Amino acid sequence: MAKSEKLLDVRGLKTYFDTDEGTVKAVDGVSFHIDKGETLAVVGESGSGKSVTSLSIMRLIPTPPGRIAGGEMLFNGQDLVKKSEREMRQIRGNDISMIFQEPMTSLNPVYTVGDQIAEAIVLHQGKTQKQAMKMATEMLELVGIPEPAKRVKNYPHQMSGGMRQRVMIAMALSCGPQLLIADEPTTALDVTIQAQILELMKKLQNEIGMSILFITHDLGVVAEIADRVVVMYAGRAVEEGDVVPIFTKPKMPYTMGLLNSVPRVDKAAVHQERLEAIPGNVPNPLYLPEGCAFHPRCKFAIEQCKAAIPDLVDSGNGHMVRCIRWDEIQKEQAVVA
Amino acid sequence: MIPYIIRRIIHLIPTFIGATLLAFIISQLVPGDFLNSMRLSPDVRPETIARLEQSFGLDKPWYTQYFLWMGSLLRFDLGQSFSGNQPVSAVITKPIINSLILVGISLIMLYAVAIPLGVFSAVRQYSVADQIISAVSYFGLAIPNFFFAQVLILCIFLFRSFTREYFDYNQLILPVAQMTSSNYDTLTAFGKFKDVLWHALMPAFVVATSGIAGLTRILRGQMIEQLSSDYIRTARSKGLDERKINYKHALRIAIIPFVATIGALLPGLIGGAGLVEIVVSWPGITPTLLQALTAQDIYVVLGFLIISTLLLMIGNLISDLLLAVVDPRIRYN
Amino acid sequence: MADAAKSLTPRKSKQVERSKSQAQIVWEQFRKHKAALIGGGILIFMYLVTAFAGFIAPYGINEYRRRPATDFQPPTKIHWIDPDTGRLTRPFIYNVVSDRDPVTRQKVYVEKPEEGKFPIRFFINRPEASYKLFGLFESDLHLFGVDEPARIFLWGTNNLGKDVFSRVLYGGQVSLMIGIIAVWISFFLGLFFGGVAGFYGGIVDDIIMRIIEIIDAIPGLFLLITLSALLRDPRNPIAQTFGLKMNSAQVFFMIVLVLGFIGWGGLARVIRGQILSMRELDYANAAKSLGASESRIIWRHLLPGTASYVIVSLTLAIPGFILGETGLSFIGLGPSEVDTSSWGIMLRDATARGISIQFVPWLLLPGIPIFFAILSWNLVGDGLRDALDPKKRR
Repeated sequence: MAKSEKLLDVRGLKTYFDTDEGTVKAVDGVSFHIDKGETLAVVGESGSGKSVTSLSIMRLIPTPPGRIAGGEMLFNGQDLVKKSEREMRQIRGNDISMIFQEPMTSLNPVYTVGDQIAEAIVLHQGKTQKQAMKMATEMLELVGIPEPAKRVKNYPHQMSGGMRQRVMIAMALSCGPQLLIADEPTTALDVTIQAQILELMKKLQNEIGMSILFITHDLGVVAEIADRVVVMYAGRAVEEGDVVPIFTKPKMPYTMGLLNSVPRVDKAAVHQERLEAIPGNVPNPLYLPEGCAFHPRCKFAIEQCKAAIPDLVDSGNGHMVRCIRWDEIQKEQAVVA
Repeated sequence: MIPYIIRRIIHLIPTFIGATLLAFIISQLVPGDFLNSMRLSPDVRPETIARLEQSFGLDKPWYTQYFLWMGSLLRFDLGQSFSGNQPVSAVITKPIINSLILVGISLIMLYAVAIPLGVFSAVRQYSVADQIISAVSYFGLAIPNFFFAQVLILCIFLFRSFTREYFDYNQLILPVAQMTSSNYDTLTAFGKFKDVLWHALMPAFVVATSGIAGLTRILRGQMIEQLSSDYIRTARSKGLDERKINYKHALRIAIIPFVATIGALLPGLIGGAGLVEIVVSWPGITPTLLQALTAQDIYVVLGFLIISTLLLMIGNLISDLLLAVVDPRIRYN
Repeated sequence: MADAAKSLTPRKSKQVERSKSQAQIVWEQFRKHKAALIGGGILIFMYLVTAFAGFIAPYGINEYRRRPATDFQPPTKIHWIDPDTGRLTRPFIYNVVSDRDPVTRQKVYVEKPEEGKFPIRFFINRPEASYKLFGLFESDLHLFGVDEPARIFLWGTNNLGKDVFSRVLYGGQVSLMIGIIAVWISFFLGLFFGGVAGFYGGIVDDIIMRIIEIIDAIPGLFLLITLSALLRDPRNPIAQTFGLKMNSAQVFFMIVLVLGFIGWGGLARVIRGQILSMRELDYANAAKSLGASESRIIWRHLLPGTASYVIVSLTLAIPGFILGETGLSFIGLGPSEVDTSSWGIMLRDATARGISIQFVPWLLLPGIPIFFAILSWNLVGDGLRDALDPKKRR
């Protein structure tokens, strides 16, 4: 992928929720882009705004209380924020589709899986119900469900969680989308099934050539599937870059904390390090700390961190970091190592 | 599916037998024996009474009488009406059909009104319209339907007296009594149908009110719950429009407990219809049952109890089957 | 997204709540339910007014005048303006006498200003309408009234010329009390049978559930009608056995029993279900593993958990019983008409043969207190349910 072309370019996205107690800035000025055929992972703890970001792209934020308060989302050069609900319906499921975390509840229990896959095909591709059902069967085969002709008539409750997630993928891919948003698609699954689903997604990406926006809190999954990573904290992107540099040389203390809190076979075996949890909790979105939102939990924090929200700066080779001390910290770390 | 139906029917049999026993025990509360009024009637020949005494085993203990009565019940013989001197089945068939017409029409009204209202309230949760619907449904639940029928009759009369000067006609906008017009017998089949429907409009609406109020509230709650569920988010992400999401996806599931309550609804409707029947002189079960009770025509009373119990059970069975139809999770278990 | 939404819902400081008793929490929640508070207020008002019915009602429950008769007299018009001065004055009425409409030959009532004003007087004694307050204190003091020959009928009169307003007040004593008494009966039946079924399970459970199913199988209204019609006859075998004459007190009690008998099944099911589900709960097992006896588990652990559910079911059952009584009375199978009144009986007056409701619309007034009683009990029940359900707390 020498010559990259931007499929989705999110610039300064702000998604706010108006509650009785005040406005929650769930996503506050997030920018990133996804190239064609690329997989971008958005990583963060729950409440970091990663899911809200993905729902914002689909324009599926429940309004009220939520609203997109600013920014633009250029999809093939067209701003999704400015699209009417009607135009968005043309895009959803057709150009951009989505799979979710809970395969057990994400399918309607009273319709067969075939019906539910065919629904999008009939809607977007103007096929008849019969043609659509045939395509649904082919999709089931594509996602590796055995006996697709029989399974297409099954109800969701007759399938396992892994199968249902495959059905969700089949449904999402049925209209050949350019962008697939996967919101923690493997979190609710067993580890072995997780690996199968990730494998399937990689394989289908190669076949279909779509881009994937992969939302997760699981760094192991990120390493497996992503080309680039955006780390989110308290509604903002705090680090962004290619997957290898982020994993090997994280620059934002939060990313370091995240990586240290994950057991790693290579490190543990060599250095016998203990797992380190990040102290404290994710801040209440209503009362974010002054300055850098991470400073109360950051072991490198200094007075200046409280003064202002740091900018996201390029630390070289497009590796972006939102920390005023990234340079010093990197030197410090180098000395320790 | 068929084994399921058979299981349900088998389960109902002991309940039905129990209900016949309970009804029979209640019938024993009648002073003296069943033939009191017959003995007093000059029209009935003593031989008839002797024959009846024997066939019902009135000289034997009550449980023997019960078995004799059950025996004839199994031969679809509900016994003899004393006051009319005709078979019970002939006395009760017409009122039961009349009541079923009234309840049937109000059932249709119930669903035709409650479903759109419930969906609307849920989709526009907390809007002014939702709050009005909610307030009106409290009203509908609280007003006794016989009183509501009386109030509506008054309104229909008042409407006439207010509009008389402008329109100069004596006709009421809706009939307030009886099931048919006086010229009913001269009407064509379709005319008869229209006539009965016309007469049923007001009472059927009254019978349906509390049901509409109750079901609107239940459906609203169900819809709100469903609309926030994951599969609705999936449907939205497919690009479906709101109408499809509300009706094809959310309502389809919200309706399930609704269908399950049809069976429970029927006795309420039949019972509720009873008092309205009296207000508008609808020749249904309740007015006839009251007459039979006054005349102590006990086999007619028993006939009504047994047949209405049977209808109720069939209603419950149908709602169980409907439930299996609308919910594949039940069908396949 | 879900996480974000959850953290957005207003949350109260948990420490404050924990230090309060359960009752305080429930009351606090209930107070937020405005409709329920209004309902509660209406109920307190209604029960107080009917308790003092004898004092507030200007006339006795069955008091009427033969001559001049007052049958179907419309509500008396109360005048506030003195016709001589045109100024506001203390309220008064005119005497009203019957006449025939020259055209329709209908009986009409006309005011007779020439007989003078009859001011409404307060706290008057009328020995003709003495009453026993709470069934204990003999009195003939009335809140208001007018001098004879004028009579004040706030809500008109019925076919016999009895004051509808006074009868509504007395009728409330029957209609409002019957709900509460019947609910206690079905409460005890339901608690006993539901508890036994839930706790012992097995064949006992099967039998009890079958009996409930059988009672439920017969349409309730028909069972109610049939039982009250047969039992009110003093010649019925039960009355004969116990030597009951089925006077109005006995009929009243019989109706309460019949209502309770038909209504206990639902409650028994609720209690049984609660007990069954709670037996499986961890804290019952925890108590068992600590060596608590079965009866201790029932009384200390299971019943308190059931209580909130039962209170709500009971509250919401009361309007059903009120409706049952008024319905029965409406078809003439309620408490006897001779020395009691009930709102249902009064509504029956409006359907009597030969009456056209458009000429006597005030006969429908007794329906209004029925409506408010049922509405208020429903509101209070809903409020209690929300207040007692931790999931619905706001």
